[in-house]
This record gives sequence, C-alpha cells and structure tokens, in this order.
Amino acid sequence: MERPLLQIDGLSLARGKRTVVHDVSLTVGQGERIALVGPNGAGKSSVIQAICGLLKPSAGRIRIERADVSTLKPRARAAAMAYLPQDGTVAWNMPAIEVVALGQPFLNADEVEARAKAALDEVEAAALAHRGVAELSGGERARVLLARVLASGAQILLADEPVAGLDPDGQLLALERLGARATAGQSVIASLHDLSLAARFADRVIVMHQGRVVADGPPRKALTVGILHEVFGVTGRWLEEESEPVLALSRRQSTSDR
Amino acid sequence: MTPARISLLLGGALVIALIAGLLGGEVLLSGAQYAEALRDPASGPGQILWQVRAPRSLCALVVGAALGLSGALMQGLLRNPLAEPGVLGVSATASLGGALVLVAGAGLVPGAVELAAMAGAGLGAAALVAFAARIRAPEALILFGVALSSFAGAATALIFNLSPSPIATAEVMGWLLGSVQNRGWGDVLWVALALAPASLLAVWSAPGLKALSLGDETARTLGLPLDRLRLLALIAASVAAGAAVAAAGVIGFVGLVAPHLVRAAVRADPGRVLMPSALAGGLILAVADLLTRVTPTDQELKLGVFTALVGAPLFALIAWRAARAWRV
Repeated sequence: MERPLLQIDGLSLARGKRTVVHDVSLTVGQGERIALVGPNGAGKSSVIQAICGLLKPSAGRIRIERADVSTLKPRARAAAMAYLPQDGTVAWNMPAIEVVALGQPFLNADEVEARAKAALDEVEAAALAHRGVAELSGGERARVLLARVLASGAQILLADEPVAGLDPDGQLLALERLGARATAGQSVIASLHDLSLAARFADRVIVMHQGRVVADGPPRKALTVGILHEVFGVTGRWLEEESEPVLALSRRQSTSDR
Repeated sequence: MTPARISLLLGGALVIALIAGLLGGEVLLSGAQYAEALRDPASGPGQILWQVRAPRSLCALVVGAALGLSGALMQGLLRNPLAEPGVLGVSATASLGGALVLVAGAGLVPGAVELAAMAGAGLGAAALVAFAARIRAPEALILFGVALSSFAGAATALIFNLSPSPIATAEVMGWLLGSVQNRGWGDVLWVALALAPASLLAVWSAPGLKALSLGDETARTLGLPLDRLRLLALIAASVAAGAAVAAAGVIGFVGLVAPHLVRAAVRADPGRVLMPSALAGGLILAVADLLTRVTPTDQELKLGVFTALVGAPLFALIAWRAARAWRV
C-alpha cells in the first residue's frame, strides 16, 4: 500500500441505542479503489457517513493524514473528502451546472465554472449544463450529482451506492469515472450491491456483515465461495470471460431441494 | 433575467406603487390640494398625505418586504416550497407573543410587542427547523406547521378567554386580522429597523441555503459553517416575521407567493431569491393595500382578509404542483 491517507481504528457506531458498526479498523492508501459490499443493514452507509464526519463514533477514531476527522474544520474536511449520498434529491430546480458548482464553494467564480463544466463533460452530461435538475431523468440527475463530487477535487471520494437506479451504461460510466479518479491518485470508496460490478471496479473489496468487516482484500480473495454463502446467502463462482473475471451468482438451494 | 435586473424592475414597480398609494384613497384630492399638501404638510390635505397615506403605504411596503424575505428564508431553510410564516404557524406564534404582552398591559412599553412577537416567531421557527432536521418528508413538515399554528391560535384564544378586559381583547382581535390601517411613522420605523439587520443576515446565510438544497447531510460535507449559517437564516426569518406581525398582525400568503414570483428569474437559487423576494413581497402588499382602500365597501377590507382570499387558492395551486414533484 502507498502512503496511508485514511486510518480507522476500532470504530463503533450507534444509531439511537442500537450499535450498527462494531470495532472496524481499516487503512486506506492514496489511489485505492475500494468497493464496500454487504447485505442491507451491514453498516456500509454508516461507515461512509462516519468517515465524512456525519456520524460520531461511539468508540474508536478516524484519522485523515493523522488529523482526527472530528476535530477537522468543515473546510479542511471538505478539501479532504467529498460525499455522494444515496438520496439523489435536489430541493430546487437549479441548473445542473450550479448544482455541480456546489462541489467547491471556495474557489473564484471563473474557476468554479470551469471545473463544473469539465466535470459535467467527464460524466458525458455537458448538454445538461443549463437544464433544471428537477426536469432531468433519474439517470441524468445521478450523473450531475456524480459530477459535483468529481468537481470537488477532494482527496477521498466517498460514494454511497453510486449506481443504484442507473441503467447498465450509467452504472459502468459512473464506476469508470470513479475508477479513473483513483488511477489519478484520489482514493475512492464506493458501497455497492452488485458484486460483479464491485469485482470489476475495485482493486480491493471490503465485505461487511452485521456491522463488522468479515473480509478485506482483492476481489477474488474477499469474495470467496464461503463468504458469498455465509454473508449473502447465495452460491457463486468465478467465470473467466475474455479479459475480466465475472462473478456468477445464484440463489442458494434450500436443503429440501437437494 | 439576472437577479440584479429583476431587483431593479421590482424596485421601479415599488416606487410606482408608492406614488399610487399616495394618490389613492377614500378622500379624492384635487390637483390644487396635492400642491397644498406638498407646500404645507400641516394643512388638511398635507395631513392626509403625510400622516395617513404615506406611513400607511410605506408600512404595507416594509411589512410585505419582511414577509417576502421571511418566506424565502423559510423555504430555503426547510427546502419546502410551501413554507411561509403564515402557513407554518410562525405568524401564529409571533401573535401569541404579541398578545401576551398586550393582555399583560405592557402594550404601551416601546418595543415590547415587537420584541415579544419576534421571540414568538423565533420559537416557532426553531421548532420547525428542529422538526425538519429529523423528519425528511416535506408533507410531514406542513402537518407539523398546521399543528403549531393551531396550538398557538388556541393559546391566543385562551388568553382572550381569560382576559378580564374586553377592550384589550377587541384591540388584539382587530390587530390579529391583519391591517396597516392607521399605522404611523413609528410603525414604519420599527419594521424598517428590523428589516435592515434581517436582510444582512439573510444575505450572509445565502450560501448555506444553497448548500442545503442538496439535503442536510450532503450540505454538511461541503465545507461551509452550516450550523452557523442556518442559525443566521433562522434569526433573520424570525426577526422579519415577528416585526411584520407586530406592525400589521397576521397577513398570510405574501411570504408564500413572493418567492414563487421571482424564483424562475434567479434560476431557483434559494440564496439569490432572498432580496428579490423581499421586493416582490413589498410590491404585493403595497398593491393589495391600495386595492383594499379603493374597493368601495362600507367597512374597509382588512388587508389580512384580502391576502388570504387571494393567497389561499394560490397556496392550493403551489401545493398541487409540489405534491406532483414529491411523488417522483
């Protein structure tokens, strides 16, 4: 691993009285491309929100380049990380380019616009720049919101289910663009439900189950037959298709069928 | 249209409305009388112009501006196009504050009613913001506002109920109907004094409102001091709504309609909508007041009654459109 950028030690998180994440420790280096996977309720979103500083740890700590996230000033935190939430609503019908420009409120107006335009271009949505976001389709709006995160230039990009609700082309585009940013040196952490996509996108897969990390490594090492069975309740095997490995899944047979 | 151009346009319309407000009224003045009024403010026509019509028209203008600003701030803060002090109960909590002071017999203490109304508005607005932070559904916020409004209304009614003085009760009732009739320069000054700092705070909070359009959590990650900006917007909305209620009672729907009139012109930016919305609110109420004055009725129409008659159907229309947007 290259220089560690993000370090999580013994992180526990609670929502109300319920502990949803137990004792998670991770180190994330620069330029890593991480897929965070796990069934619903495994704690993926909670971990992402805690890294962003939106959820206070009930135990443990999160550091970015040795600075505790909870003590970072909002501006320093925004420079360190950008957050793409699962919920893609925008309250007002602002032009797409203005929504993208919200990614970096501290630059001068010209620079903001240039970056926003470049980011829209990057997600192949340049033509949407002056359309109101409320008039866009769900897929178009998702691209615009992804562009906002890309325009931020933050060191760590955190995306909570960035491909939920997108068509296949949109899914591949989103992951390709996030992946390209990792290649360029930003660290990307994306929670994903589609394990095949996760395997294709990530160089490291972290599997969470009931609030704990149960596997962490390259896709094939993390998504083993045992993990698939135990965590996701499915059977799966790796297929060698052309250049990229594909994970084929099927529902686990119940004992009565055998 | 740029925000600057729409502000200029609205400003021009406001000047025209003010002049019309000086010319229009129950008593028709001749050209010679206007000349006399300009020459000698102490003359009969001068009194009508400078002690009755001018403060009244200006009062309508500043109260409308305060409501327009407050409505735009609340819509931005709560991310809800149906938010406004009247609908969500902030005017009702402001009235409750004012009514408490009046019934307690402190109505003549300078600034007491105004400050109590602002405090009442502040409590109501804070309750709404706290609710909106926990419950995301926009419809739920409206329901909470209805509850807040009903509760504050009931508490105000209870005060009347228990009040020993029927005169005080009648006075408060008349005030609550919403009017700028018989308002003097002192009232204008009070609202203007509240509106100036509220406008400054509003403009200061504008980047926070824009960030909030992405939702509470995402807004927190954009690097702005969001809690502070939100507090500034909340204070500005409360001061403006409280001052408007203290001066003119409950005038509904201006705060709802004004932002909608100018939103498209500022490309829906919840920060840039603030000042044009204040101007639009001033214009709406100045025109509405003029209409209540020149409408030939035995008893003069109360401004609050008039704006509600026009505003409520508009509210229904905006609610219908918003509900369709929420469904997607």
